[in-house]
Amino acid sequence: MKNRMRMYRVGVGFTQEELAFKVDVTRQTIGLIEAGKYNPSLNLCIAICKTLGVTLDEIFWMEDDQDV
Amino acid sequence: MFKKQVKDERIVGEQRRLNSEGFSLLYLGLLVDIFYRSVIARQNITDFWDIALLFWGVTGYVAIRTIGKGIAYYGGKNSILRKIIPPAAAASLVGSLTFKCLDPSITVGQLVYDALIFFIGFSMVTYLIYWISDKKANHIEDDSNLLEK
Repeated sequence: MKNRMRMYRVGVGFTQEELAFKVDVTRQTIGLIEAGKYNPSLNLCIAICKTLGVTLDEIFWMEDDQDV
Repeated sequence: MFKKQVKDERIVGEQRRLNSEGFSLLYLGLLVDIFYRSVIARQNITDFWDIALLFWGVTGYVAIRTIGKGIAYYGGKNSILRKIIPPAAAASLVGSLTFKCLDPSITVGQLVYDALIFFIGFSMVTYLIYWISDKKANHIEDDSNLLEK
């Protein structure tokens, strides 16, 4: 799963630590999601989107050749 | 001021995965231990009844919970034979070799007969597990559909 989380997070002015605190995860988890090394649950995706004020498909998407 | 408690899904998920791996290692260890005690060391079951009871208790618990949650999935009617026959054949073969090891005087004919009975019994129990689990899964689905209405 690909994402533009870093771009939107920086755009809103949050650090990884601040976003992590707001969505109830650790800073490392945010870092891993941004690096594409951890696929978050739908609940966490929605929490991130609500916090950053964007819709799900603006941040997260699947590449055509990726398995769902 | 109390620090906000973090419930990180990644950490919780990793912890569950590690717990599951730990359980699998312990379970395999118990199986190997029982095999060693009964087949190689030739101990009587009364010498290690606590370990055997723990093993069968855990096996029964996992089996009952799996059936109760309807997750013993066999992959549809077309693949049911593939899910039943190979494990039953493997269990019969291992069981036969173990019995032969425990009692070398047993005849080949008797061994084949016992293996056949075991194969049929094992297949029937496995089928029953899948059948009950499937019914349970359908029941859970029906209940959730009723809640939506």
